[in-house]
Amino acid sequence: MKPLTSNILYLIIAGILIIGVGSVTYSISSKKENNTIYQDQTSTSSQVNTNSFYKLGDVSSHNSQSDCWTAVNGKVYNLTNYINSHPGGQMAIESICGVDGSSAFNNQHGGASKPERVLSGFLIGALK
Amino acid sequence: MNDLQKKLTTYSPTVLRIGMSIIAIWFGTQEILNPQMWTSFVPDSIVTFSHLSANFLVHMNGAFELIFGIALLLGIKTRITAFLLTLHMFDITYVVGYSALGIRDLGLALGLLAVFMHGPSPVSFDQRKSKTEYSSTVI
Repeated sequence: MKPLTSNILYLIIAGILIIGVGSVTYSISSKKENNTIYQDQTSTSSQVNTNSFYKLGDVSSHNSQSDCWTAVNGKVYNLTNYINSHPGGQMAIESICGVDGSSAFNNQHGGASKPERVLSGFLIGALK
Repeated sequence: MNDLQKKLTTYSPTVLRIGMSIIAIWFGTQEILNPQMWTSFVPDSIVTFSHLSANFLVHMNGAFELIFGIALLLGIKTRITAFLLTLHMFDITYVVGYSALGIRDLGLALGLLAVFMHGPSPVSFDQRKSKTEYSSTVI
C-alpha cells in the first residue's frame, strides 16, 4: 500500500474511532447524569444547600485527602472529588484542605475566569 | 561511545514517546470518565460556534487524546500521530495562556514536537513494519 493511501486510511479509521468512542461515552455519561438528577429530585436529603454558612472551624475539620473542604474568598468549597482531577496536581489542592485557601488560589489563578468557574461547581456555602 | 551509551541513545526517543503517550492516555481517560471536571476549560467561543454542548466536546476531546495516545504508545504512524497531538497541545497552551499550567503545557507540546521530528523509534509497530518491509526487500 502506498504511504499516502495508508496515512489517509489511518486518519479515517482514527476519526471513526474517535467519533464512536466519544459518542458512546457521551451517551453513557448523559444517561448516568439523568439518573443522578432523578435521584436528587426524589431524595431531598441528598440536596446540597449552597445557602449554608460555615465557620473556618467547620472547614478545618475537613482537612484530609478523603474529606477536603476549603474556603476561598469568603465561600466554602468541598474539593474532595476534585483532588485527583486538578490539572496543577493533587498537592496544590491538598495544601489548602481545611484552611483558608484564598491566597493560594488568588496567587495562582487570580483574575482567571476558568478556575473560578471550576471552583463554583464545588460550592457548598459561605464563610461566616 | 560504549555499548551502554549507544543503547541509551537508541532508546531515548522511545522513552520520550511512551512518556508523552501516557500523558495523552491519562488525560483522555479522565475527560471521558469525569467530563464535568473539564467542561469549564472548553472555550465559550467553541461552544457557541459548534452549537455542541461543552460536555460532548469534552468527550470528543477525551476520545481524541485516548485514541491517539494509544497509537503513540504502540508506535502506530508515529509521525502523523505525534504531529496531531503536538497541534492539539499547542492549541491547549494557547487557550490556557501564560501561567504555570501554560508553561507546563508548552513543555509537553515541545516534547511531542520532538517525537514528531524524530519519527518512528525502537519498540514500535512502525519499526517492526519497516523491518519486515526491509527484510522482504532484501530477500
